[in-house]
Amino acid sequence: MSNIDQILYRAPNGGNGIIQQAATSLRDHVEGNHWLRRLEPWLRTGNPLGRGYLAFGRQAALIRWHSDVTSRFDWQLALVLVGQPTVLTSTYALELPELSAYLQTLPRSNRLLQATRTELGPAHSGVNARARSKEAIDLLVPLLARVLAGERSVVMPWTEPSLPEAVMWGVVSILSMLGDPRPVSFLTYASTRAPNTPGLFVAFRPGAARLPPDPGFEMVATELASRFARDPAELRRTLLQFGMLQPTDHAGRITRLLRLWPHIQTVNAYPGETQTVNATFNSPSSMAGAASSRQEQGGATGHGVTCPICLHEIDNWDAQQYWRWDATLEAYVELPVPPGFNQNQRDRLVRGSYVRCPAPHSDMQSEHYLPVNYGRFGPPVLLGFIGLTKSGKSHLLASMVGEVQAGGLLQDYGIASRPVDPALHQRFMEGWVNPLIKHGRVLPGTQEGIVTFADAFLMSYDNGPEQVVALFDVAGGDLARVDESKQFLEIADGLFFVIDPEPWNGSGKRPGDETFDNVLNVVQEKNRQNRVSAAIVLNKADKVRFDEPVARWLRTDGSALDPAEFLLESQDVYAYLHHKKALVLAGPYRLCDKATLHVASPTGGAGDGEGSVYPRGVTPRRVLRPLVAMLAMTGVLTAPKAEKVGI
Amino acid sequence: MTEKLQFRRVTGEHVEAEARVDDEELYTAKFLMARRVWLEETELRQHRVSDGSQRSTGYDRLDNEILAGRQLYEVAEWGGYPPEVVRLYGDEATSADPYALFYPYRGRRLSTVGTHFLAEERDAFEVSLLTGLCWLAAAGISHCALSPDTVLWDGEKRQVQIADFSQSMVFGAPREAIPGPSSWIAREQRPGSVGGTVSARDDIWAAGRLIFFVRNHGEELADRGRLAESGLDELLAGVFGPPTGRPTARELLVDRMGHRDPVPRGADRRPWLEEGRRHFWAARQHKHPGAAIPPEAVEVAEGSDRITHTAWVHTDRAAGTEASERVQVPPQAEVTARKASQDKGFRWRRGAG
Repeated sequence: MSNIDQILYRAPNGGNGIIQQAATSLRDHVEGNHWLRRLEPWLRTGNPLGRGYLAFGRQAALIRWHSDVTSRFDWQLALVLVGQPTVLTSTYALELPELSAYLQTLPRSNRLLQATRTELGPAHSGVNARARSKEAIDLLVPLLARVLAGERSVVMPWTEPSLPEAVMWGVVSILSMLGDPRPVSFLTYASTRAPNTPGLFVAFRPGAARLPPDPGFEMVATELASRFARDPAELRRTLLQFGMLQPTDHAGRITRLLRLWPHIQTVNAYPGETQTVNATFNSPSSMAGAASSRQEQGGATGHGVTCPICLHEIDNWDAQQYWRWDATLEAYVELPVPPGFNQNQRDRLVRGSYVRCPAPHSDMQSEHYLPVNYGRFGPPVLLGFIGLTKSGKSHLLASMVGEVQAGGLLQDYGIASRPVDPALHQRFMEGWVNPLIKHGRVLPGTQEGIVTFADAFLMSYDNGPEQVVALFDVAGGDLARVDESKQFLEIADGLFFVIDPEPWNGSGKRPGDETFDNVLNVVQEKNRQNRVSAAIVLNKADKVRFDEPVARWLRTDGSALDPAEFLLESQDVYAYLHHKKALVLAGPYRLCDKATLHVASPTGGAGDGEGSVYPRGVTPRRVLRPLVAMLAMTGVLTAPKAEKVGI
Repeated sequence: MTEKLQFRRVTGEHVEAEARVDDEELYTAKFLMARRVWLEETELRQHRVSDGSQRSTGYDRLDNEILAGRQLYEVAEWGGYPPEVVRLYGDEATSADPYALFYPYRGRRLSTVGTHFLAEERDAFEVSLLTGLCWLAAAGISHCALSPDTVLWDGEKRQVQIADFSQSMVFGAPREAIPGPSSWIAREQRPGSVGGTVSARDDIWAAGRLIFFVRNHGEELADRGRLAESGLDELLAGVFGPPTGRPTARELLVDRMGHRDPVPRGADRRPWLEEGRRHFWAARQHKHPGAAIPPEAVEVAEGSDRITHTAWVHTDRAAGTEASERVQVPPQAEVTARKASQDKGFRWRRGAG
């Protein structure tokens, strides 16, 4: 399909007022609403001095704004073209004229016709020429250098109308010649911070700082830009002949360029003659600090990480753009790393920052961010808590984290730990751990629909490398449904199956747990029995604290990494479930290759309901044992005896 | 004054009953308080948690009493409850104001009567004290605070009654410091030198001193040389050494004094767990064929034939004979067989497997 749909939006009081769809060629009303929700952040950010092109994966949108010259508002009308990015390309978007004249041709009704793509846009020759002008090349070089350096979101200063369009025309042309497949989006005039898009996003903003690019990448960019300015066709031929279009990754493309122009050296250069490209090309210069700091700790660089929230494969973690949480804006904002920063400066700058999952998002709500440390220490170990609502998952998790925070892992087992994301950890401490442990309050249940890890730690054992251990707490109600809201289950390394003994102990009720069934079905369907470890926790064991063998285990809180002790405890809990005719709850033991059973009491006694105070105080018992067993089973603990745990 | 009590009988059933209450405080353990209650005509002691800043400790102390009572009941079974230890009637352990109900204590504290024992009473005392400790060991419980204040003497029946399990611990638990005079607290339990895990050899230290105390009309053992003078050096050999080298109560009673073991063989087992344990090892074997089995579990994992049937001894109580008949009862038939036998006037005790 080469047709392009059109949507006209009206904002009588400007971009800060209500935006309404005035007319469209779309026949589906729902689709119209969808586009408004999707585009609204960019609609509000741009104005008639620029245009926006947004590549969303299988669809792209071009936004142009219009303002009556007599109006005191920034814009009143915005025309959006939507279509496949192979039809509505970024270059074509730049070749279309300004909106004012075109609006005169639109019918005065709420029904628009589809637009048809022509081979070249009406402004093709103009933008092509200006893209090679000196003022455009001056702006193109630093922008291209930052793009080559791996930045995914670049803000450039806006200085005059139509220049940014010309610069972007040059950027997309050169990236196309380099065979860079990343989708490119841009906003050529942004009055405020603009949300990002998948792939590369460039915004031009008045007053934005012109950050000095990395000198090495600047050399590469200068070479490309000057050749582009002289003869784009010649540059295209040169690059093609040199195999630039053959498939490779970003680092491979940079390496090819350096081979093509060997006067740009990668090592041991000295100023004045050759220039060092300050990057390994597995991790561009702006990320080198992060990468090298992990290398020092024995980790690998430039590896892929699976997003635990959407399962998107993030190919090169270190090449992602950094973000920070802005409490004032209540939003993540881009955290550019000045290319001239040394390693220490970079490390300090990105500490506590986030990486946005680069998966294509259908809307802003599905965007998600991961702590920068999440992907820097090898594949993270994902541990989830499974169990019905009120089985005590949150209390168990809070008690565990409380014990970890209090140094229990280090003191008793020699396992060092620190938070992956200090802010996240602090929130969990203040929201869950402190109310329970310090104030003895009964916690509320886990909120449904929240699918991310509650807390995460970098753990190391016996002076070994650090590894990320992420702890997921999912509402029992979510787990009881079969849907896509808990995708981490498909890549989880370990699962705590949490049992509340009260519903079936002595009540004659048939024990069962549909959350176990649902999750075990996922494990079985994915044939992951040998890759996911299980720790079945007879939780709230204080409720059966006088029953043998619970009483004995609850009062003998061992602190040894002893596989035999884990095995004997597993034997006894299994036998207890058997005696209580609740053996169905031991299903994870039978299914998963590595599995243990435990008794644990996160509080030491019962409370009267959410918000009430535990009358006995809170004295967690054996809450670290399941975690230690899990760390052993999932390979975080590497001692020979750890390998025997769960077998 | 009356109160409505809702509690769990030690036998497992839930009871809701009107109780007559006497608010006079009885002597009991620290952090707890006790009073008399009557359920119809049955007099009981109700132990509750004292108010105050140490209330959380009181909860734990009460839990210890309840656990010991329940464990002793489980190993002693119906009708065979040893008089040498106080007997739990029931408990309410879930509310913010929990309590335990005990049958009335029998006897008077040794601190009061321990100075006036006759020679034959002393012998009975030693046997009875060690008998009580044998039952405690079968329940897997260490009293941890034996002293003239926690051991009672019933001169009429010539029986000891071990009371106040508020500081008791299960075998295998890490030892905790026990406050109190060093004359009754073994070194490994004293604040500052506490260490190791609780075992069946812990209580014998204080028991040995109690035996000396009674033999010597209330004199506390200050010099081990006095043991020989009291004729106790052989009986109590090794009792005051490090815990790992001490004899157990059973070794003193059976091997050194020549008495029968009061606890039937196998009473310390939990037969209701055996089948589940075998299931576990079978499931593990299925997943990991040939995986090593810890020594502690070899018997269960590999001795399925011996475990399938539990042997029971039933003694003819009416005839007062010690002769017994052993029957093999599979676990699933235990309750039925036991009830049928009790209906005939037999007394059941779990026996050898």
